[in-house]
Amino acid sequence: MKFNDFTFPHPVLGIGDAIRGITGFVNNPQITVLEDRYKILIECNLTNDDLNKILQEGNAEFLCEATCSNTVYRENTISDNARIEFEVPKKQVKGKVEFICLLVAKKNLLNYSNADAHPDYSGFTFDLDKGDILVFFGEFNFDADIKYEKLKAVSSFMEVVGRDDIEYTNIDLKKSKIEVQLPTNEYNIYRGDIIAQEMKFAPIFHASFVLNALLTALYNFEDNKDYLWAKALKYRLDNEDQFKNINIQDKDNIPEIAQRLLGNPFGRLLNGLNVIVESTENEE
Amino acid sequence: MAKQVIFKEKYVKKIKDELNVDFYRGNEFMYDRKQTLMLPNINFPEGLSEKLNTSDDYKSAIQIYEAFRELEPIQASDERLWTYLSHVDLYPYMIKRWDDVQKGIAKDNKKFILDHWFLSSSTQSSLMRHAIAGLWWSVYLSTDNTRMDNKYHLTKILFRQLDFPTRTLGTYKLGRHKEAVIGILEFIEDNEDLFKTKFEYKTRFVTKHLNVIGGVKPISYYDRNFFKEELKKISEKIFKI
Repeated sequence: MKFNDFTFPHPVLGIGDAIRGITGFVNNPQITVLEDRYKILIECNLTNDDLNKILQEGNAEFLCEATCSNTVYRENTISDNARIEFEVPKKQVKGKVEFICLLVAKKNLLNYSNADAHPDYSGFTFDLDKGDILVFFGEFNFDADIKYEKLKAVSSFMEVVGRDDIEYTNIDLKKSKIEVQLPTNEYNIYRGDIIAQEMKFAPIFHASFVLNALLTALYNFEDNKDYLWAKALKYRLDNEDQFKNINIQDKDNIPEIAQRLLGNPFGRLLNGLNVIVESTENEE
Repeated sequence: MAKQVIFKEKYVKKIKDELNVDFYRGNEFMYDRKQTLMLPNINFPEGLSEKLNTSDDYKSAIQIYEAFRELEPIQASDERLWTYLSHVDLYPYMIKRWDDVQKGIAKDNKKFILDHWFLSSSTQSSLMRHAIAGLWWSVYLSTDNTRMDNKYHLTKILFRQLDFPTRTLGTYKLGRHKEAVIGILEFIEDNEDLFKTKFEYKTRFVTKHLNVIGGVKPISYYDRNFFKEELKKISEKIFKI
């Protein structure tokens, strides 16, 4: 269901100004990632007196519909309580999982009216069928492809690959992960045991081509927002406290955002160089 | 027991990007065997291709569904699996069922191959349109486990015209709600006379009508009886088509 620009034959709270009053969720819906399932917790906000009365009389119920077009998934959860809790098995969904939360008529309701309805409805009553929508609390979604628990790792949004048809390093944003493409010779050096296995070199990579690639990606974020790497980064930007007051829309913020995403790469580079110098001195 | 094999993701992209029509003219699709992965929890169904019937999509669909009934939805929406099956295990069936390229009668060979051998995306409509995935998903959506005698009874009605599962009902949001699919199919079953003629147009009308209702009512809230009742209300209109 898409409710934008839709007029219902009866007043629905949450659709335009059909009924005066606050609706929505008490807090942001919570999505907890468990080993084999997602746990969803929603608390709907219902303050309208007439609708609360209908609910208390057992004539309405909460409904949360979950859908995923990639796996033809469609399930609903029904509750008498504004606090709705349910689970979605991981093996049932892939990519975007969408949710819509409603209050619906539990049985046919004759002569429905609402004291807070828009004056346009004044003097009218409505006969509603079972399932007709009384309140639209809102919709939200999450991306099941994103490994939320592993988002801090650079490997969750970037990978380094070799290419034999290029002379200089290239950054490809049109992939599920930001792809740093190194010419084959350089790639072989990068993947070689001496470099790839040496943890002390990680800050050097982060402060060099990883940061460069990430900056390129962030400056081109809007054009690539449908790629998985962009969704993964967006999730971090939207959910981590450290990004609360830094808006990516302001391009001046991008260098700071990139450094925060990588956990202060320049600081780690300099500390890392110190470690390398000290360990070299110890070896001598 | 041997396990089912699938293509690697990058290889699917490669054969799609570098599509060579000539590779689809032979009796075997030549591919790089190193570009495959094994599905550890899905057994390889021996001899499936020979069991498929190129002149009966319903029978083929049941065979494919039975062979892969252990698939979870997340696996059954995996482009790598369906692309592998259509290019390797079920290639002999594919070139007989979809033989326009081999016969030289396809308007656009490349488009024909892309439409039948590959998924354009991993969305519901793309899954339903794929020559193999569409058969599996059509059975998945129409199986009625409450019918002890024949759980595929309604699937047979769905396959009366291939466009119904793969282009019409299956591709609509409505098709995600099993009770809606079953309700529609039971209505057709109960009103055979109504659907004796112009089956394609009538089923298209029915699907569109219920989809419009789905714009204002929460479709997943209702059981099969709701959909049957809604269709009963428009019987006259269906008759006049």
